[in-house]
Amino acid sequence: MFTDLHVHSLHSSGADTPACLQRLARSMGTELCLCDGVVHEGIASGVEVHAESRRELLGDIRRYWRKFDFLIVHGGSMEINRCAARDSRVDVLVHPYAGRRDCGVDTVVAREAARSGVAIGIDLEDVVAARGAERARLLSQVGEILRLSRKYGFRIAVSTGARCRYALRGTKEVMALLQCIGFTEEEALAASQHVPRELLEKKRLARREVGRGVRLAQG
Amino acid sequence: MRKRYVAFLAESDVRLGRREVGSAIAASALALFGETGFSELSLRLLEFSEAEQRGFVVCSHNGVERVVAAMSAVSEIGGARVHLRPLGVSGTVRALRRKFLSGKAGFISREEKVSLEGKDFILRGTTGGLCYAEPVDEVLRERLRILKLRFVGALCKELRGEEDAADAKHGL
Repeated sequence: MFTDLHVHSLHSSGADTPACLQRLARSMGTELCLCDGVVHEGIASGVEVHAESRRELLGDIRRYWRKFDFLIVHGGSMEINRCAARDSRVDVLVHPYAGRRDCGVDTVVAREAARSGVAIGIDLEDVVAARGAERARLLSQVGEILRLSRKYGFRIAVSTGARCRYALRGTKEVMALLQCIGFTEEEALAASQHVPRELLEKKRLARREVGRGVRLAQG
Repeated sequence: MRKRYVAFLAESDVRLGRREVGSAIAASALALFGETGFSELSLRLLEFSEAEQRGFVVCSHNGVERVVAAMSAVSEIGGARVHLRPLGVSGTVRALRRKFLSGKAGFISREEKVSLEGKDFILRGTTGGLCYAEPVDEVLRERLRILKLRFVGALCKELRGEEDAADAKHGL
């Protein structure tokens, strides 16, 4: 089942209520996670951090990482991309290519992301909404991230980046789109299903840690 | 050539016509795979019901994945946000109709004032337990305009009608 880590509801910049999105996601066979910066009952809730500088990013990470089920950093500038890739409290660095000509992942970001376990996020909405030369540029950026992932071993997490009900996608649609843009079947499965689930599980365990190497047992 | 039929549901805030859906799917496939790739698909819209907003395309048996990807890559038609949701694949039209096209879309148009999380909306329609409401609030209208939408989506039980709101005011 596709686990969509990057969806916005009416509580942030989206257009639909969380319950509406959850019903639609279920009907498509997708597991919905919302990143509104609000804790939703019964839905995995995360936050998307938009930071202008390294200092601001670290402050936001410190403030939010225990509070939410997952933490996403909005990439773009190389300073933010490098800082986010280095910090193991970050779960996903989404669209590191935003506003750039290159893919926003260089060898430093790739090595750091592989070491710290930060996944590099690709939003399908970016690819779907773009047209012509803009889509071609985005596809080449995604291809470059995929090439670096194969070389350096960092994980890729695919999400829709949906801000409305019509941007949600089902498991088969995501698999078909990813294979069209150069992912193998195994890579598409990992990026859309295994990696997001691993990230949620990792965070669930991390939030139960009460000290270095000490975890609160359930019950 | 062995054929496959792919059924889909067109979801949008506006009612879509057969011609515009057909050309949107073809344009998307053409953009994704180029002219030679598109020709290998043998893709054609066979049927589209404007009342139910459902239809199906025919393609070659080894092009199903690419057709699903092309439909999934359609994000807007005529300036309105859409999603062409694939419902299923079949080898015959009869099986496709039986399995995927027998249900009714059932969009019921309505018009009444409702409130959602303290904001006023005008309910425009319901379908399958979901409500589509137009916001009165200017900020929210602007957000929808940027997202190329007309309505906010919510569960029917989340919306409060005028009568319910009056009851709540009187502590009932």
